[in-house]
Amino acid sequence: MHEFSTAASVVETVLRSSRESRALKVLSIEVEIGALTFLSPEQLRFWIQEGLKKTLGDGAKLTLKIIKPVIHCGDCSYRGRLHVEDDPAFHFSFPVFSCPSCGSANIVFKKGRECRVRKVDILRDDCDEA
Amino acid sequence: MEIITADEGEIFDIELDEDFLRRNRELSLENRKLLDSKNCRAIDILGSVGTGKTSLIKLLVRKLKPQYRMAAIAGDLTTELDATRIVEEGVEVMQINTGKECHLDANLLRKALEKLDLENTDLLFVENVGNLICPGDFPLGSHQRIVMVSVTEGPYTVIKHPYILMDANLLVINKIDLCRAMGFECDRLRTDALRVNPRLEVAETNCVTGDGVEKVLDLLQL
Repeated sequence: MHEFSTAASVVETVLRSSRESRALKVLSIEVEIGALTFLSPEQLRFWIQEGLKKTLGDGAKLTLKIIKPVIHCGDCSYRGRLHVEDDPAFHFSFPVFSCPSCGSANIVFKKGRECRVRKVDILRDDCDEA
Repeated sequence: MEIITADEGEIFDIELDEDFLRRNRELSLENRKLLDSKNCRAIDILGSVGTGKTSLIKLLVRKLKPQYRMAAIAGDLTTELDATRIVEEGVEVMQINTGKECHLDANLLRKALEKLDLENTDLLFVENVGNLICPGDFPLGSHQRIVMVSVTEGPYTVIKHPYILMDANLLVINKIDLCRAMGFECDRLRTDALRVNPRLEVAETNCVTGDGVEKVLDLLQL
């Protein structure tokens, strides 16, 4: 539900950083989204593209990279993926917030909760600089 | 911001590291520091619309009034209905109207904290906007998090919303008197919740009669 405001922040960041770098056009944008966030990549993509219309970023290639969760166990020092349980009764899978190695619930999320603009490729006006 | 020149003459890569959720996390840590500096413990409550969040806060306030100086923050889209109900219990309540946003965030909470008399508050309840999804992305800086579901939401509420339990300390299953009418055992909600997050404490309540509230207080160590 907060995809719209998140997309607005993405658009603002892309356009601000592009203008600061004297961009003529934004060619591509790379956004990272953690799988543990509540953001829907499809909705986010739609609103970012809408927000970029009639701007420097109109038509830029947009890549949304999903960052898989990584946890660290405070008890056995396991570092890695979360266990995802597949329950045929529900026909879908759900995450289990405990250590897949020792079962401890004393875990910290190291990756999977981010939402960031990682990279913006721009076409830059170099004429002034010459 | 680092600018790296690409091979092509006029094409540039702008490397950024601007995490939109990280700013909220940083603000939530500032809120926590502020609360700690005033010796004020904050508990936030998440749950769907109509699950019983306000009723639970009212009951907790009523029980704890002799021991604690309390205040509450009520998040809602546009109305003051919840705040008005909590005021009836005789505590200071700050209303946050989010307008059209589906969740409270650390920035909104910070604004409310600035207006509250934290020096004279030992315990603060923060009621989030009725929603089991979006608030999960926005930690507020509170010390404990209650997620509340009610039997009338059906047997699948927990398993449909596993991620909301990620940061929760306590799950309260409300309206347990309606299990029979709903045709399922509320044990199912408990079992599902513990499968997702084995750290959770679970309490069952009827917030109309007050049944189970003692257990909630116990699990919150209040």
